[in-house]
Order: sequence, then C-alpha cells, then structure tokens
Amino acid sequence: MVGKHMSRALRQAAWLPLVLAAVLPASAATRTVIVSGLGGETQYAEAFAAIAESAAQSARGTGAEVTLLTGAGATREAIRGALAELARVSAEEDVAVVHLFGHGTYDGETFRFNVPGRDPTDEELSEWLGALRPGRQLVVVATSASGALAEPLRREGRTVIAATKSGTEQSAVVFGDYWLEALRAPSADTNKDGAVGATEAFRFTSAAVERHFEARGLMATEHARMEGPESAILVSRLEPERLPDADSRRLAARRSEIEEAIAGLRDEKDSMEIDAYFARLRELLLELAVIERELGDGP
Amino acid sequence: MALSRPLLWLPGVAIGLAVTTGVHAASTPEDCRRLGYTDRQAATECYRGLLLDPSPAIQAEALWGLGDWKAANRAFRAAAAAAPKDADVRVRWGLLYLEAHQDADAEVLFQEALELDGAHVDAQVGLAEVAADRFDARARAIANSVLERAPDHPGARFVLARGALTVGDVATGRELVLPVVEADDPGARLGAMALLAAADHLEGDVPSEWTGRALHESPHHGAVFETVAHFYVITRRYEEAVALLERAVEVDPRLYSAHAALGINLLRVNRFDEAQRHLARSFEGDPYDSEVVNTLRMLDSLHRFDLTEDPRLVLRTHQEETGALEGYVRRLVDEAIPSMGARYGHVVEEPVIIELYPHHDDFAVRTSGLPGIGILGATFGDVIAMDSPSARGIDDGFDWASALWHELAHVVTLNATDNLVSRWFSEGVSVLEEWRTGPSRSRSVPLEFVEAAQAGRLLPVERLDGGFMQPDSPGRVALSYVQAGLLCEYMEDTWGVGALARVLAAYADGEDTADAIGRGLELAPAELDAGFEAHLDARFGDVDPDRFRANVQAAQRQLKEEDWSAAVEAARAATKNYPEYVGPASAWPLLAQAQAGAGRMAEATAALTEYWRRGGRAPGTLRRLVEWLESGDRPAEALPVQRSLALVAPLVPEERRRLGDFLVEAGQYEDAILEYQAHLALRPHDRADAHYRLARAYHGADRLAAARRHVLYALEIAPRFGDALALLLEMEG
Repeated sequence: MVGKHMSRALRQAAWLPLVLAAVLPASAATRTVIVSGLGGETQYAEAFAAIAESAAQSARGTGAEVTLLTGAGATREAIRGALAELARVSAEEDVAVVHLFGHGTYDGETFRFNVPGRDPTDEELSEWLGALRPGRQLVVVATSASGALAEPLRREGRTVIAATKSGTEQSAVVFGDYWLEALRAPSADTNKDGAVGATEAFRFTSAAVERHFEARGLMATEHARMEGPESAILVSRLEPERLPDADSRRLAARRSEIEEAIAGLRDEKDSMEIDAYFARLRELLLELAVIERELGDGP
Repeated sequence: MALSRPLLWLPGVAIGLAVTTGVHAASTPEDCRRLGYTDRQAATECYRGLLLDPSPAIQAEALWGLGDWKAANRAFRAAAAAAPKDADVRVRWGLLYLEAHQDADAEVLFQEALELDGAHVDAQVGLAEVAADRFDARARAIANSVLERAPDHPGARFVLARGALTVGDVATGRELVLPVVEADDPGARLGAMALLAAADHLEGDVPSEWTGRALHESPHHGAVFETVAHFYVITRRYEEAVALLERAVEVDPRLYSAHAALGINLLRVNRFDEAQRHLARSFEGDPYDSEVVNTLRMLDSLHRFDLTEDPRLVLRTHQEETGALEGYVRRLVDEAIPSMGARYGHVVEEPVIIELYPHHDDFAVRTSGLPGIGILGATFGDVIAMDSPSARGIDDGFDWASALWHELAHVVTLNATDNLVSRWFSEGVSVLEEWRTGPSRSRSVPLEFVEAAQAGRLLPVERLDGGFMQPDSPGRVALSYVQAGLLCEYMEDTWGVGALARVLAAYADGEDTADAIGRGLELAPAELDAGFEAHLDARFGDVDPDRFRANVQAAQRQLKEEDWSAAVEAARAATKNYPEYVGPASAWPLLAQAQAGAGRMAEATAALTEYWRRGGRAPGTLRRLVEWLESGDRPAEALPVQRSLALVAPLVPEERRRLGDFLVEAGQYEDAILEYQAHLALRPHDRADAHYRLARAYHGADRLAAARRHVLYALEIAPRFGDALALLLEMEG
C-alpha cells in the first residue's frame, strides 16, 4: 500500500516531505557544503558571507552536517577537498547538498565560480560533484551567470537550482538575498509542515526576485531556474522537531496514513463528484485535526 | 503621431508636362488628378498612361495616383537624385510621406525643399501641416507667414481654418475658407466645402448644404464626411463621428483613412467587432498607418481580457488582474456615479464601460490622434480607457483610483450635455471631483502652476480650451488641467454648489463658454477671470517656489549627512511655505525622515500622517507610516492608511493581505473578504495561507459555507496547517 501511494505522492511535490520522512532509512544523513565566493566589493563580500552563514545555520537546524567555506578559506582547492570528503563519507541512501553563493562569470564557453586564487570551472565542478554517491542531491548556485551550470550539472537524482536562466545573465544577482528570506519566511512553507524544502524555497525565491524587479519598474536581469526532479530536501526548519514517545509514534503513524489517503484522494479528484470529494476530504481532515491536537502540533 | 485627420487637399502638381504616351496623349499628372474627382476609371487610365514617361518625377506621380506608394517612393528618390536642385520634387515627395503617415520624413523633405528655395510656399504649408498634426502651435505662425505672401493659398487657409474650428472659432474658420470655394482647383474647392460643412455641424446647422454641394462636384468624395467627423471626434462626440464615417466609407469604400478613423471611433463607442472589420479593411489598403497597426495589435491582445457585465458596469480587465481590481472598480463606480449625479443634477442611466490596460501602449492607441489627452486615462462618452495600476512601476505611485474617479466625472459631464460641454469645464469638474470627493482627495498644485499664476501666464477662461487643444508650450496642457480645476473650485466656493450644475446645464443647451458662464454665474468671462486672478493671488501669493525648492534640496543634503536637526529645520520651513504640496519631492516625508533620524518617532509619524491626510500616496512612504503606526500600537490609525496603500497598490498581494488582516482585527469582515479574495486572485506564493485567511474572514462574517469551502481548500494544499485545522474544528463544533 505504502509503495503504491508513494508513487502517487511523488507526483505531488507538496506531499514529498511528509511521505519521504516516513520511508527514509533511519541512518540516512544529510551532508551540506556551503561556499561563499569572492565579493569583489566589500558590500558584496560581506553580503555573501552573511547569506552563507545563515544558510549554514538553517541547514544545521534540519540536522544536516555542514561544511562552510568563506572568505580566504573558500579556495578552489578547499572546495575540491570539501566535495571529495563529502564523496568519501556519503552513502547512496544519504542526501548531499551543495550551495555556492557569490559571483560567477561565463565567457560563452566556460563558467567560473569566483573565489580567491584560481576559479573552479564548470567542468571541474561537474567532475567533483560527479563523485558524490547519494541518490538524492541538491546543488544551489546563487551566482551571476549560474544558468550556464544548470545543464552540465544535471544527473539522475540531482536537483540543480540556478539564479539565472543562462550564462548570459551576468549582473550581480539578488537571488541569494531572497533565498535567505525563504529560509526564514513562514509563507515559504506552503505545505505547512514546519519546514522549507528545496522546491518550496525555489518557488518562494523566484517569485520574490520577479517582484523585486517589477516593483522597481526595472527590466529583470535574472530569471531563476530549477533543473531535475522537484526536491523535498529540507533547507530550513521553521519549527523544532520533537522526538516522539510511544503514543505519539502511534498517532504519527495514523497521521501518515491519513496524509497518504488525502494524497490519494487528491489524485482522484478529477474523476469524483466534487461534493463527494470534499465530504471525504473533510472527514479525513477532521480526524487529522484531532490527531494533531493530541500530538500537540496542531489546534 | 499618425495623421489624425484627413488631408484636405494636395497642391497641384507642378512637375513638368508629360511626353506623349499612349491613350491619354499629352496628359499631365495634374490632368489625371483633376479627372480623379469626377471619373476615377478615367483617372486610373490617365495615370497608367504616364507610367512609360521617362521622367522619374512623372512616374512617381503616376504610381502615387495608382496607389502604389512604395514604387512611387522609389521613383521620387530617383527623381530627387536626377534633379538635386528641384524643390518641387521634394515637396511632392514630402506630401507622399505625409499621406503615408510618416510625418518626420515629410518634414525633412519640406525642409530640404526650403533650403533649395526659401520662398517655396507649398513646402512651408507642408511644414505647417506637420506641425498641425502634432498639435504644435507653430502651424499657425507658418500658415500666417505664407498668407502674407500668397493670400489665396488654399493649404495655408485650411491649416488656419482647421485650427480655428478646433478651438470653436467657427466664424474665423468660415471666413478663411469661403473664398476658396470659388477656386479653380477642384481639390481646393472640395476641401473648402468640407470645412464649411464642419463649421455648419459645429454650429448645429445640420444637414449642411456643403456636403451636398461637395458630392455634386465629386460623387465619391467621402472625405467631406471624414473631415466633418474629425471635428466631432475632437469634441468627443463619437456617435456622431461614427455615423459620418460610416457615410464616408459608403460613398468611397476605398477611403482607407476613413475606415481607420471609423474603426478607432467604433472602439470608443464599444462596438469592437465592427471596429476590427474596418481597421482590417484600412490595413489592407493602407498598411503604413501605425495607428491602425497598433490598434489591431491591441485588439489581438484582448483575448486575454475578461469581460464582466452588469446593468451598471461593463469592465474589461486583463485576466490576471480581474480578481484584484474588479471589487475596487465596482466600489468606485457605485460611489462616484450617484454622488456626482446628485452634485450636477444628472443621473447616468447607461452602464459605464471601463477598460484597464496593463500595457500603456495598448491604452495609448485608444487616445492617439486626440489633442491634449492626459496620459492617465481617457473618456469617450460612456467608455473609459486607462492604464491599469500595473502599467507603471509601483514606486511611481500612480494613483489609478483617483484617475478613474476623474474619468467617471467626465462620464457625468459628457453624458449630461450630450458631449457638448467645453473641454476646460469638463476637465475642471473632473479635477475638482478628484480633490473634493475622490478616493485620495489630494490637491497637490505643482510649483510650476504657482509660478505660472504668479507670473500672469494663465489663459483667460474663454481661451482655456486652447490650453488643451492647441497648447502654446510643452507644459501648457498640464497647467490647463490645474487651472481648470482651481477655476471650478473657485466657482463653486464663490457662487455655491449649484453654480457648476447651472453652467453645465447651459452647455447642455448648446451655449458657448461666455453664455454658459453668463447663465450660471450671471457675470461676464472677463469678470470671472479678474475674480479668479485675485483668488489665486490670495491663495498662492505667499508661496515662494524658489525658497521651497532650496529648502527641500537642503533637507535632502542634510539627511544624507545625517544632520538631523538641520534637516528638520529645512524640511519644516518647506512644509510651512507650501504645506499642501504632496507630489514628488514633497517636504513632508523629508521632515518625517529627519525626525525619525533624531529619534523623535511621534513627530515623524505625525509628519507622515499629515502627508497622507493631504493626499500623499507614494506607496513606500505609506508603507513606512503603517509600520510606524503599528509599532506605536496604533492599529486603528494604521487601518485607513493601509486602505489607501492597498488602493494605490492593488496588485501587490502583500498589501491586500495586510489590509485584510487589519480589517479582520477591526471586525470588518465583509471588507476583509474583498481584500483576501483579491489576495488570492493575485496568486500569492502561499496559497494555503491565502485560503485560510479568506476562510477566517468568511467565518467572522458568519458565511459558514464559504468559510468551510476555503478552509478545505487550504488544508487540501497543506493538511498539517495548524491554524486551518483549528478553524475547521471550531466550525465543525
């Protein structure tokens, strides 16, 4: 049953965190590498470092192990070393997350992530990331020209989020500022599970970037894109996770069943009488409301 | 700008005689042109006969006569190269460009002709035509200088007569063209008859004998109707214009400029399907008319618009904006039409038709060819077309609701007078209504107006229409709006609330401005001007624009330097000098910023509150005021400011949601529902939350079925949404 509902639920991004949380092996770990590149000007350098630090804090809040490289420490060699270490310690069932904040350049052929010393190129980044074993990966490149990386970094099980549509969008990006906002904003958590997944963060950020330019009457100089599967990998937790006791575990299990039933019901919505659909939905939700109240997570 | 009126007349062809060529041996282009007024088939044969002429200038004339403008253009280019000193060729070539709606190219050629022959009157008249086409006052000066040397020149007389008729000086218009009726040139005679017919129509002498005489001379001369229609268009009488343009294309189905004008004016009376047909017909025959191309393009985009209709309102909005704007538009119409109807003694029975365009270019095509139309909105009888709030950046602070209020006042004054109201009075009433009864009630008279009033540069009331229709300087139209508004305000304050209604009633009876003022106020226009001047002096005499600007600049500089006390002093001096100014670079926000910098938040909040109370509507400034009021725990005062903010930025989801939250806090659930519906329609990122807030407002309003529906929508998206689950449990007992 679970498997059947799983396949349905996977088609619905909104349900992913809930369902995956129920099926991931207990030993699965999330490991995150966050890099803040060169700022060029002081204001950018400070901003990138602050964004990277906040992203690291948020990642730690989700239980991830975090490696943070900023300032003089964020060299090409350091990045290569951090990714090699990530590859070494991660298993297939783990989750790997990489964030790059800063400036990127693209000369029509090669993308370069600007760091102290020699810049890593798209080929090198692709090679280093290619060594990662986890079946679920997230790469967020919040730099100018980062769209140039979206295709080269694609691979099965990896979601790539880039701040720009292509390598030709070379202005400094505001994507990172809004990504940071997504990690904190309750409105980014659209499925109200108390955490922000990668897809939720991407949607929040890209909408905010769009509004940023519209509100100023400016032509948009960046258009964020997401390649690969929609991702429920957590980038931030808005509410602390609690360890369940025995009763809670029973209730949580029932809650998962209800959530799966709701997911299934939603899949069948188009083929149902609308009144019957909402009557059944209401019934399930009322039970869920009571469980949530007993668990202390809800009303 | 594309040509907005028919070319009345092209001067005779001065290019040399043709050689013997086939059927019409020894014909000249001039012979062919004259033939065209009575026998088109013969004229066509005549022009064909000229095609083999070795002279490129004659070939050009023949090709132009046959309607092949592209080939004619090439031939004129060859002719000009072959005869580089020939001014005539350049003038004729320029006239071809003028007919092809390329005024800038025409202007260059007329100027080149004048460089070759400084006394070339046709070149000068060509320049006058170009200027008139742009509503440029220089047209009159050029035409007058031509008449000094060539007193009978029909083209110069027509330019001046059109100008006179445009501002309602019918007698001068008649006087100028009456002698031309006896001219030898049939084209000149027909042009004169058309203007005389227009003069008759402007004076209500309908049907005009001149249309009959024109058709007797040239049975397919639809241009006579097109010319008369032009004067109905610029006096906003679109139904009458449409009837005449329909007659024009009936008489001459190949009169593409009339098809274009008919299409554009059918849109103004909300007959879209017919409009599209005529515009397409025009485009087939004349693909060079950018006004037609742009309008067809705009019509193509209308498939993305919603049409909402009821007995009071027909609303065309972009489908992405309908949900956010419909409620506000409906509320503004429901308030404006009855209240203005009561003030002016006229109730509009027909539904008001409102079109809101997210792209300014689409709105602009609705107003092209009309003199003195403001760039915010336009009213054609019962039809209002304007920019939607999204047509401008949010930070521009486009007060679209006040603009709509202004246009709704036009609907009342135009409707009350069957479009006979003078331009200045209709604008004046609309501006006054914005100030007195509108949603913002901002009366921000710009410093430029204060300076013009102090320098005695305002127009007397009898010439105020000219400030819109034939502005004598780039800023005149804007000045005229403010002057008209202040004049109407002065009239109402001095002669009572019924004074404006009495003047309006006089216009409805067909009176001109002098008589309407006489009837409404029992005094002569000159007396009104004198009283108004004294009023302005009392009101603005103490305002010192230079000192105001200097204080504002000083405050801006001191704010940058964080010299808070100096900034407070300079900004305060500016607000004392001219407190009612809340436009761009108003001193109130500067004073607030300086007070806040100095840590005096109560004074800062008071300064911004004053800015808002006086009608200031810059969204960023209002947002700051709301935040300050909220942080000062003054939600009851924040609510009306947030209402203004949501109205000026109705497409910003967060502002609609925040207003909904304030309204729920205040227990105003029905209004909150409107805000949350708009928020949801704007496709916010967090849809579960949007449904939940709407459910909460419905629940507060005791509309439980809707509340249940929306809480289920919220939980369908986010089943673990704690607040929504709590509301569900509460509703289900």
